[in-house]
Amino acid sequence: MRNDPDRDRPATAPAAIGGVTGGGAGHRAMAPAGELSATRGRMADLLAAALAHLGVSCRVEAREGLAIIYPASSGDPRLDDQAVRRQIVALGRERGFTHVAVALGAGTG
Amino acid sequence: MTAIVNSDRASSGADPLAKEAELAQWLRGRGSALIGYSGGVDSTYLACMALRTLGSDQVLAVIGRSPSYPMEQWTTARDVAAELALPILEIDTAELDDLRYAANPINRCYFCKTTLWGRLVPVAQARGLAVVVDGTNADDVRDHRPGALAARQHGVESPLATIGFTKSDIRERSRALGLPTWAQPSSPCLASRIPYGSPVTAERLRRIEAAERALRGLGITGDLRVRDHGDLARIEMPSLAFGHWYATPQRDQLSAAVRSAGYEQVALDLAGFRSGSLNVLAGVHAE
Repeated sequence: MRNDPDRDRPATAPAAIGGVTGGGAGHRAMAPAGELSATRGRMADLLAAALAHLGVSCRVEAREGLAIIYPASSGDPRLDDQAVRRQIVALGRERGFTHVAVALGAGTG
Repeated sequence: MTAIVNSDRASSGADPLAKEAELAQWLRGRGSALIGYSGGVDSTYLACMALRTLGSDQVLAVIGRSPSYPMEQWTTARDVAAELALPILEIDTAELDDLRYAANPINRCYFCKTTLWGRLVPVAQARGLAVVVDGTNADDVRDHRPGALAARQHGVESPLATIGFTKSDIRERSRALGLPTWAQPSSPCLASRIPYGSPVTAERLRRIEAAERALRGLGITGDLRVRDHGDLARIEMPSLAFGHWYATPQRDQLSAAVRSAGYEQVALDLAGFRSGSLNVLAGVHAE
């Protein structure tokens, strides 16, 4: 968690709920950082609940449009199945995430 | 084609050989050329065609070195140039010194290319070379490429795109010409692994390069990106490779390799490799 420049700067929300870094036609108004953080937390909780329904027990952390899933059991075999992975990505997109990734190694359990 | 090139779009359907003849004619019409050369698939093909069409006296391939240019790519560029007897010049660019670039806005590439072409165009003028060209292809034109504006502003031409060469066309003709780069994965600059708005620093670029090198060392081939999300590295690789690398003990090997580069957390993307993945994250679409 240290040395993370992304964590402390005013964050933008994932594209699906607004917020583009930089200028141009796609620029949207930024909500206060605290509000965005709460929104991302809700998105993560919703995704974790959806994944539990799918049979994947895990914790979900949101980083802007990226959802990191931490499976309860390291190396959840259900993720070996490409169809399941696609389903998880689709569930993530439905909840506003552009990317879903599974944590590896220490701390994933 | 191999799995290495599975991210390429399909050919436009026109005959690549006919396009090649058109390219040769285009080059002959200019008479001499300076090529922005990276050792990648596109610029190597273009340099090869320029060399064949115009001769070594009328061609100069210029490599712009910077922390965002992977060392492996530089080595490839030099090796291929030596193999082809392609005249090259290496210059150091310093795009990181430009705070507008280092801030990593969505048009970061514009500032990088402004620096690059700002160095290369005077070289062409000093050497009497008629035109400065780059390896932009027809597929690139459909992507988010703010660097293209810098090229236009400096009068740099993109004959592969103009003639309609897709990446697939270029690979096909590169293979026919015996170029070692024909099946090489696309290798955009290392800064493209850092989300927009998150600063580009030499340290982050070194960390990304080290992580990707370590993963290649495990035997990962084909499209591979380490996306830098601060303390967390997100690995993108072809979706079909997921099952192998998520299994034990490979999963732990992936994690250890990336952590050895300096990341505290490692994650494997469930959707696999996506070209321009961070454009999606930022909500950026093709211009």
